[in-house]
Amino acid sequence: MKLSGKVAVVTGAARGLGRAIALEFAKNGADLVLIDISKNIDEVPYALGSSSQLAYTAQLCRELDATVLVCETDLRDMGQIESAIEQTMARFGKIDILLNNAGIAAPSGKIAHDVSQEHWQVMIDINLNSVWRMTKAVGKYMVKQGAGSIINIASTAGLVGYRHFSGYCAAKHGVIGLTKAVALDYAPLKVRVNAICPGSVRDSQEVEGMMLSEIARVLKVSVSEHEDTFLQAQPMNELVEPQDIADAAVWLASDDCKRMTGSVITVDGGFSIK
Amino acid sequence: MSNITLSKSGSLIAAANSHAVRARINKPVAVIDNNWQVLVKELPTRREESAVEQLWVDNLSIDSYSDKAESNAIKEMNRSIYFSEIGLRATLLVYRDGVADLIVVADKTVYDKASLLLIIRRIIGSENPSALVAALSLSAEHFKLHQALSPTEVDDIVLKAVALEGEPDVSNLTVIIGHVLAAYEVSKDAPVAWMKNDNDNDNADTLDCQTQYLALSIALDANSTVASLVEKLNVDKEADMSQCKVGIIHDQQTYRMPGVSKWQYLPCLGPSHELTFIISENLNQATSLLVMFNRKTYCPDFIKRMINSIRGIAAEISKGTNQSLGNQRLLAESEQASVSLLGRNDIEVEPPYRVEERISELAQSQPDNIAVCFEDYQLTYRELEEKANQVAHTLLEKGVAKGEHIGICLSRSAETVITMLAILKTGCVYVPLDPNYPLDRISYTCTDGGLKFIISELAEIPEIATDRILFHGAFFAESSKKPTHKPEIEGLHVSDAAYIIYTSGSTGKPKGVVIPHCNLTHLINATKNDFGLHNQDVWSLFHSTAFDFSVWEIWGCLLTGGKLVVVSYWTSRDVEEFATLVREKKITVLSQTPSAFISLIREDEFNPVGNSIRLVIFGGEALDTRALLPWFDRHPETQCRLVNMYGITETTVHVTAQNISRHHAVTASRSVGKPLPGWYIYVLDEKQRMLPPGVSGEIYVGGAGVAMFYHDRPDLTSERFIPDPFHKGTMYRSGDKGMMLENGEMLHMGRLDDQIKLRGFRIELGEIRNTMLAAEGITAAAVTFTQKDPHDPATARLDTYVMLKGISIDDVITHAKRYLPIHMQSSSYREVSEMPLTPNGKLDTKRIEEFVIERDKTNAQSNQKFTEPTSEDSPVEACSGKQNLEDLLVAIWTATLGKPVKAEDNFFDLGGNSLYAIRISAAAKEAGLPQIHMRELYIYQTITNLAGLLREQYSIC
Repeated sequence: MKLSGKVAVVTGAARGLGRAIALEFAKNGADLVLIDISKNIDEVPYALGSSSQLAYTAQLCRELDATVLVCETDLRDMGQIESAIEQTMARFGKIDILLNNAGIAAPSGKIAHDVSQEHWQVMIDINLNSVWRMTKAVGKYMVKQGAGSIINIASTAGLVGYRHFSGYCAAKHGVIGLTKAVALDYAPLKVRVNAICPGSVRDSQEVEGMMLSEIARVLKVSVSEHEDTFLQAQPMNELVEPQDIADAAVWLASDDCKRMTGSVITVDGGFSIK
Repeated sequence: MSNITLSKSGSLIAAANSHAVRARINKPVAVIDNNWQVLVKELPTRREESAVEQLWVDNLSIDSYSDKAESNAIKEMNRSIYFSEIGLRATLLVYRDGVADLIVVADKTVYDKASLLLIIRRIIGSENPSALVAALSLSAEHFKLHQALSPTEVDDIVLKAVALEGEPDVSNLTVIIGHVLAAYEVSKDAPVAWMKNDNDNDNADTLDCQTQYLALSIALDANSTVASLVEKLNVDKEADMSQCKVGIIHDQQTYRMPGVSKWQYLPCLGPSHELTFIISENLNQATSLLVMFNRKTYCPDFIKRMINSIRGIAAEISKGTNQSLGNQRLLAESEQASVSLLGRNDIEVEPPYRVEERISELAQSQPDNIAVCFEDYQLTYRELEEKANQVAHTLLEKGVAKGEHIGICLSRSAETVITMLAILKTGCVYVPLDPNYPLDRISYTCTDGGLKFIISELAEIPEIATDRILFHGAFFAESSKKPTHKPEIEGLHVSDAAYIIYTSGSTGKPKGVVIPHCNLTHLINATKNDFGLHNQDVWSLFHSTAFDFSVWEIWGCLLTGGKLVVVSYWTSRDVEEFATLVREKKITVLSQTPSAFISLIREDEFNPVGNSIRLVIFGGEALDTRALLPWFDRHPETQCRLVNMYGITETTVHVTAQNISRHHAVTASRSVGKPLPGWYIYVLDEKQRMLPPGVSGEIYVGGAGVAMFYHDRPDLTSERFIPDPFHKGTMYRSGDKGMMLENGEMLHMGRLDDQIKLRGFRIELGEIRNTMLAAEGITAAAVTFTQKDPHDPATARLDTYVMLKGISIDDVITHAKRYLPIHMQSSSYREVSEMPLTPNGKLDTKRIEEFVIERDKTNAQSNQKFTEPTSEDSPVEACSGKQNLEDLLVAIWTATLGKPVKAEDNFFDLGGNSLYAIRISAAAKEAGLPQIHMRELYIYQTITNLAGLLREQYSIC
């Protein structure tokens, strides 16, 4: 139980990596604040997490003995974020872990000059700006506590370029830059900030994560074709599982790495080695 | 509003400042929620309507009586108030059987206990006094501190709750806690932070915090009754609460809460102070004590002992408060028995025997093995036996009788060993005298010891009739003509005295410690198996025979059939010669004082001692284990075992043994280990009552090694050798400060009096002082011991300050040299106009320099300011450019001794000692000069003399 007594805020917790991470945090003794938009956004061409999915994540966490607070929050709205964090502080009195997971993969799939302003903005707003907003809302409490761990889920797209994913790559590179800069801001205040760069994560029915299928759809290729392309690019010849990312997140959240900050960890089957 | 503040992390403050109530209820959620909404509007802290003022309802799909429900509720209770606008959180855990736990956590600085209980009543909305109530006793299990604390602190705090017998009054208990804290050396005379939780305010309907936090001073007086100490409990208005190390929370859980089937109150969710006591009284008048503490500062066993002491004393005091605390035992009978077992090692060893019998057996069983070796001279066991028989016959012919005392005043040599054995063969007692000691001291020992004869290399000893002095040359020549068979002596017994060694005495006169054969041979039996001592071992005899470490070297070797290599005085003083001897003679068992061994470690780097040493025994002074690291790098523990032994002459050389490994060196361990089989150690208080492990007191030693008595000193004997209350026999009161650890190892913490250890010698500062005062014209004297650099034994020094009438400081120095051995002579002798005293009436050593009269010659130098040399200062560099040999030596001495030196200054007057001598020798070598051996430094003493010698021997200009 590496996280006994800790309170963790997880964004994008309705499904996918967010759910996998929330469950692993609960297994390790943390209490949870589960945040998700739980509705669709017009500019995003696929269905986002639902209220039902978020409630299901909460139920699974409670079964693991976690105390859970559920917040349906649109991270594009600072007011909503502040309200969620105010509730969190009232309920739990502290926040030990902030895991910024919420993000979108599309609108993508276009050559840079064809990306519309609206698409560019929504991509940057959700994938980059909301990480900053959450940091702004939670960071001040962590600094007062004199302790805390912020973990940003970036991507290998924050390390290298992907064709026809300019907005996504720009946002994820931005997350890494933000991670390093905030890590420096907070280092003397004992709040740690690190990032995880997942490679392509295999779709999972269990956590209802379908990112790979969505990207395949954007790229207009079949899911198996897309998987094959990534498998060839990953030296370990295996796709990353949601659990791999959850395990890395528990470690970064725990006191096992209490002197680690500003790090960017890749969990990508070796994709970014070359 | 009062506040508890701590200079720790925010989480600790939050936890300490939070308290919680849990009430088991059976009411609809809607009713509770409605009551809450009404109440919230009345809260004094409320600003305006806010979302955070909600009642947090968690519907749990578990039954109210399940373990999970219990752990959930406790988790919720331990969630401290951190950043809260209203200083309050109400949570309703609703179980699937309809029962609920209402948990309210509040900031104590906003809502006190009475307010919190009122809030609970209001939320429940029941004022029916007839409803069932049951307050649950507080126990350690109710605190899940990790919920409240930053997780890095989780493991640092544990809790204990114990029930106290006899319904102790809380004031009595507070006084008892104060007494026990002082006895356990936790806190003495410092105020404690005291907090009482009232269940009702005077005006029960207000929500204002009225709880008072007080800094309470607890008077300590072992002779006063508890009742009178209670009267002296006093609020210390000056004290800074945040500086209190100890907090006491008094909580009465005697409140009957209507409409609640059971309820619980946690007075804090984390320790308010480093050591926090929670005294809680429940409905049945039962009192329990719970302690929170920081594991970085306290170990759980120590806290457990302390709680047991409080418990035991509280039970005793409940019988009557007219008892004084000083008469209370810290340890219960059963605990005392178990602690006394800690200081005991009951491994069975062979029965003791007489020393000379064992040597005779060896002369039979291994006649041709080498027994003693001195320079090029060797003796086999047969030869040793025969020569000792010859000497014994000589003594018997001179009329010695069993039990008489015979002195040996010989430099270390094979003859010394032969003579010791011979004396034992006659049934007499040998008394070693160091011929290097001042004549007056030797004379004193001869007289005090009632020595029938002194076999001596000194032809004359003041005030001793010459017919008692057997001059060594003639004596051994005469002996060589005697028969070699064993003399027949009747009625010898293992309990007969074997030797008397004189040790430092605080009265100014040394005293003779009488040790019987059985003690000595028991020592060898007790160590033989553990140390694997066998007849292929080669031991060094490094120490003066007047120092009892030599008893161990001589008899540890010979009684196990080994070869004893006698190290001459000069070789023992010259580490280069000694390292060479160890290598060439293939010494396997080496006994060393730590100071000497540190020099050997340095020497070994350039002049290796070889790989023959398999066992090093440390004794004589405190060991700084860190200094051993370079040795371990060259001589791993698998090849050479290091053992630190604590011992006292009065308990036959050694008492305890501690294997020293790299672990001890890395952790700078000060443990001297566990007692040898047959020896018992106890740490006792002034009234000779057993102290708990972890508490320091005086070391007492009982068992097989305790000496018979001090020769001719019945008063002193009865003062220091007293009946052992824990085991049959006698125990010796050591005057050493020590602490028993829970694992049975002991820490040696120096002397309780002013005895010090200087380069392996045990010195009573009082003895030096009294020796000085014996001189006519010295009206007052003080001796200080200082060591500027704790890691550099060479900086250890004695300084003597005197007030004079009609004599000069030169007379003082002459007097000191006449009566005190070199190791007891001071680095400086200075006259002072007065002896400054501290407010307690003790000599104020910090101020004494202010009163020095600038008259004596050493003083003129010492009053100048000098920079002490550092290890980086190279004497060679310091003297570069010097042409003249004297100038070069002056520069070397100046850099090494850290003070200005003139060519005619005396090495010893400048504060020189053996360690400085080694450094001067090394620096001279580095500067390209021929080697200056320590013996040359000791004999020639000034730079002028040394330069003359070097010119003569090496034709240096």
